Amino acid sequence: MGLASLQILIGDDHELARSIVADILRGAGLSRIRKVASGEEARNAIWRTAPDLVIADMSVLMDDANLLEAIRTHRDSPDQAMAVIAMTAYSDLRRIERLRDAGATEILAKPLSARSLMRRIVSVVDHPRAFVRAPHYAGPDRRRRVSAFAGPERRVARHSVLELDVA
Amino acid sequence: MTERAIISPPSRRLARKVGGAAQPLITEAVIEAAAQCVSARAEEARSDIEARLDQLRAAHAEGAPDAARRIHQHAHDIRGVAGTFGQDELGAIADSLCAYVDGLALGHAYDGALVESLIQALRGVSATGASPLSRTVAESAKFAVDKALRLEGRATGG
Repeated sequence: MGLASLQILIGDDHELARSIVADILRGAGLSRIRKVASGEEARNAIWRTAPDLVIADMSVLMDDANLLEAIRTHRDSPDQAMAVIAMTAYSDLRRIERLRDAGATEILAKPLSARSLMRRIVSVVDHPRAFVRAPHYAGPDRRRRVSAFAGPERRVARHSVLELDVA
Repeated sequence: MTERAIISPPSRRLARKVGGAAQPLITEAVIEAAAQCVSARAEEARSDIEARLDQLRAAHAEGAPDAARRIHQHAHDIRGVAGTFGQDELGAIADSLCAYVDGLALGHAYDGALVESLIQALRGVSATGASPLSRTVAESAKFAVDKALRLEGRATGG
């Protein structure tokens, strides 16, 4: 019970960055932490240990093997809906959209701060989002705002999931 | 053609695991304790960047066959540490240097004077920190690299 029960994988190709994230988490009382330096190491650790939460830099998540896409789509993924907080030192719209469209649960723009990281952890634990499997996207529901829709209703509720016609 | 999208409801697994909700567990005191860990690492980051700048200069000065690879590695590391600590301009110049070395792999010639000026820019911005001048330096570095790769690309037909 408590935050200390969460098993967390940190991925960053910079040792100092990995250590800072681990320091922040330990400072907040989380202790089940594993650190990796590459997409390949991260994949091995994720498939072996199925962490509750992955906190990783874009360089690890979006390497040549596209780890984030593998988590979301591979049949043998330990948890396609796994919470993934993606970190990036570049907050330009193009990179943010790439991470969002690859299925990041939360995006954390560096510089790192304890407050911003803990806020993302609160978000993934307390405000989980629906999981979408669509022809061209798999990941958390990207719609954060609820807005009125006046068009024809095409949603069909079946067995506690929604099936949506995608033209 | 119509294809199916399936939407599964949000999972409360993590909330159950922490015993209800994370928000009440993350108090201001918890955040403050975590923030002190970041402050404690700031000096280490400064030393790390200085050491890497020395290694960068050494790699450039030696001009060994694998100098470009080592320059890229050091610039990449500076970019990462700078980004982690919010030194945007330093990170941007290191990014320009990485972009230039990446360009070399496409057949561009090594321009030692440009690399030297980028290393000097990194040194200067590392010493002065964030300022309007360092922003200008970072923009100039990006412009110089873009121009070098563009012109070289034209000259080689690449």
